[in-house]
Amino acid sequence: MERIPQSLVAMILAVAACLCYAFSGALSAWYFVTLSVSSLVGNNLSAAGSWMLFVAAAIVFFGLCAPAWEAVLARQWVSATEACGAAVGALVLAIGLLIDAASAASAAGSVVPAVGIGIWALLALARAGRMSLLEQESSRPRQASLWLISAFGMFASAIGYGLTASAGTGPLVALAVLLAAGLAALGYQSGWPGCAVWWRPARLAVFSPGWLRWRLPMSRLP
Amino acid sequence: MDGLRVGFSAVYFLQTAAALVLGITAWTKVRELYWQGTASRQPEPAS
Repeated sequence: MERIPQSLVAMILAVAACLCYAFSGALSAWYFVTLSVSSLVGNNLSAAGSWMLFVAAAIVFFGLCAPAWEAVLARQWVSATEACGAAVGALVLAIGLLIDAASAASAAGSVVPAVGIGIWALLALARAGRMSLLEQESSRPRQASLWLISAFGMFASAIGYGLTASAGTGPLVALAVLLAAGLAALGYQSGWPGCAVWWRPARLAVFSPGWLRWRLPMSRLP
Repeated sequence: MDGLRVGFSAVYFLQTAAALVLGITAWTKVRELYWQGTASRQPEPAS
């Protein structure tokens, strides 16, 4: 798993996948905004969002294959196993999203992506256990609890995704709540490394001379 | 039904925002890895 953020190909494909996912989310959000205005526009937006989501999952699959192959070549079998497991999860997710995009009424379009996210959740749970064992032996940074929260978020997202919305408003509410809970858990988990990435540009924007004319007066302090 | 619509819109907007934040984070990592690779490929200065 450490190999994935160290692979240039994987990170370039991750940028592309994030852009596709953001576009898909914007289309889906716009679909719900315009749901009662025109059903034709709404359906088109929903279908476009589903296809963009499939494209994002396919890019994630190819992005995970690159570090998996690099780990196999380097004979790092633990990393290779984790990356291959994540790639299998992404493949199942992509197949499910393809079914969902091609036939929106199919129940398999909800269940198969949930299986893919469930595979990722199991991987995160296994990694949490492994990190917990490693942290007992040495003074490594504490990461097991973060992986556990991540696994919870993925399980919540998988259950939410697996619910079909055809039974009425109850499953719809449960789906929204579970998706929001999963997203919140993943956001909390990624907040720790995410803060490190965002802190430096934010500090430069506020404190470095010449960046902003309207910067805070405390930047003149020695 | 309107509340449900608003809730789903909010969840999907949140997903969009999270994807954009993740994308910018990945782009930062791409730049870092690219410069690391460029620096490691530069030839040693002749003495």
